[in-house]
Amino acid sequence: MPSWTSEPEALAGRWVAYRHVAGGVPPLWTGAGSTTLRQESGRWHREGESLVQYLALSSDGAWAERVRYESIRTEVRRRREHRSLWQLRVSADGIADLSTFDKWEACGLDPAIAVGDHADSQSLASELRRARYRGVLSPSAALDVAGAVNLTLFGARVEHHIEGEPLPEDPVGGVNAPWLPAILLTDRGAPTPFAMERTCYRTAQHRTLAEWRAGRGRRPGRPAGRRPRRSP
Amino acid sequence: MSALAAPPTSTDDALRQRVEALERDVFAALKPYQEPSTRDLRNDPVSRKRRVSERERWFERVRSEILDLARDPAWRDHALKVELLLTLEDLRAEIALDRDALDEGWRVRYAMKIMHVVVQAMLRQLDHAAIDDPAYAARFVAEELRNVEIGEVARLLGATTKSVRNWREGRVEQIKRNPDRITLIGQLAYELRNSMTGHGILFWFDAPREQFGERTPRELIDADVAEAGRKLLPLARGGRAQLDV
Repeated sequence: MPSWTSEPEALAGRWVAYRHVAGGVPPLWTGAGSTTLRQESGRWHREGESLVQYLALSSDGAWAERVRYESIRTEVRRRREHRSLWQLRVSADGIADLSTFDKWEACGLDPAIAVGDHADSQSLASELRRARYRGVLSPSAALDVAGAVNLTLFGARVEHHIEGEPLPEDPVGGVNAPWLPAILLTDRGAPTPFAMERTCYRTAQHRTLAEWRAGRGRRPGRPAGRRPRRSP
Repeated sequence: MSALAAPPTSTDDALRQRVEALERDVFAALKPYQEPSTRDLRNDPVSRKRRVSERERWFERVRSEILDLARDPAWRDHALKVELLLTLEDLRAEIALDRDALDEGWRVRYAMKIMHVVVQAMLRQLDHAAIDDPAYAARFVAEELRNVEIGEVARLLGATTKSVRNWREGRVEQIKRNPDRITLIGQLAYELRNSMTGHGILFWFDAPREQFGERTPRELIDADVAEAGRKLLPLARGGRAQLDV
C-alpha cells in the first residue's frame, strides 16, 4: 500500500529543463546492462536498482545542484568549474505533481522528505514507479528559493542533440519517447553567483521549508504527513 | 560509468585504437538520416536499394570490429563484452524490422546510441586500467595539473619536486614512493578533469566535505589510502552528472 493518503495528481505537459554534466559525458542516462546501467544513488533512486534523469526547471536550479554536491563555498572554487549545461525539452505524462510543500501535505506526505534524507524519498520513488508514474516534480533541495522545482524522470532517456535551432516543441517519437531534444548551452560553464548564494548545503536548514512551516504554524521535527516505509 | 569487477589486462595502444575505431564508426552513424526532399526519392527503388546496401555494409564492418574485440583476451571475461554483443544483436533486430532503411521511429538509431554508450564505457575502462599503473598515473596527474605550482603537485602526490619535474617532461621512472596514493589520485583526477581546471582539482582535495565530518579528501588520503579510495571514488564518479542530492 502506498504511503500517500490521496494520489498525487498525474500531470501531462511539456517542460523546458536544465541539467549539468562533466565535459564529454552525455546529458542523459542510458545503457545496455549491469555495467553501463549503474548510476550513483540520488534522491529518487538507489544505485543498481534503476536509472533516473535528474533535471531542474531553471538553470540556477541545475547549478545549485552542482554547488551542493561539490560543497562549493568560495569564489575561487566556483570559478575553477567548467561544466556542460544542457537545456532539454521534456514531453511526458504521468508526472506526479509534488511540486510544492502544500501538495505533499495534500497527499498526506511529510514535506520534509522532499528536501531531507534520501532513504525516504527513494522509498517513495519506488512507490511512485509501482503506481506507474513516469516521474515527479518536487521542490528543489539545493536551490533554496520559493518556487524552485526539479523534474525527475524515471527510466532511461537519450539526447537528440539540436544545433543551430531552438528546441522543437515535440520530440521524435512523441510524448514519453526516449529521445529528448537537447541544446548544449555551454561546455565550460560555472555555477552562477546567485546559485551559490542561494544553495542550501547538506547540513543546513532548508529556509523555504522552514518558512512554509512557519506560515502553517508547524514546528520543525513535527511531521506534517506520513513517511513511506523504508526498504530494508 | 562504473567500477568493474575484472578490468582488462591489456592496455596496449593497438587495443585502444581498435575500440576508438569502433567508437568513430558508431558515432558517425548516429547522425540522423536526412530525408530526401521529395516523396518520390524517398520511395524510389534505386534510392532504397542504395540506403539498404550502405547500411548493410556499415553493419558488417561494425559487426566484424565488435567480434574481433570480443575475441581479444583483454575482454574475454568482461561484462562490457557481453553488453556490447547484446547491443549488436539488438541493432541487428531493429535493422531487420526497418526494411526501407528510413528508421522513421529512430529505433535503429536508439540501438546505435546504446551501443555507443557501451563503447565509450570500454574506452573509459582502458583509461582506468592504464592509470592503475603508478608510473602512468604519475605522468597523468603531472600533465593534468601542469599549471599548478610544482611543489603543490609534489605534496599532493607524496613525491619529490624533482620527480614531478621529470614526469612533466615525460621521463618515466619506477614509482617506489607512495604508489597506491599516486594511483588513487590519478583515478580521482581522471574523474574530475572534465569538470574543473587543474587548480580546481587541487582545491577539490582541500575542500572540507559535510559527508566526511568536514574532513578534506587530502586528510582522508593521508589517514588511509585504501579507505579514502572507497569513499572518494564514488564521490568523484557521482559528480560526472547532475544528481538531486
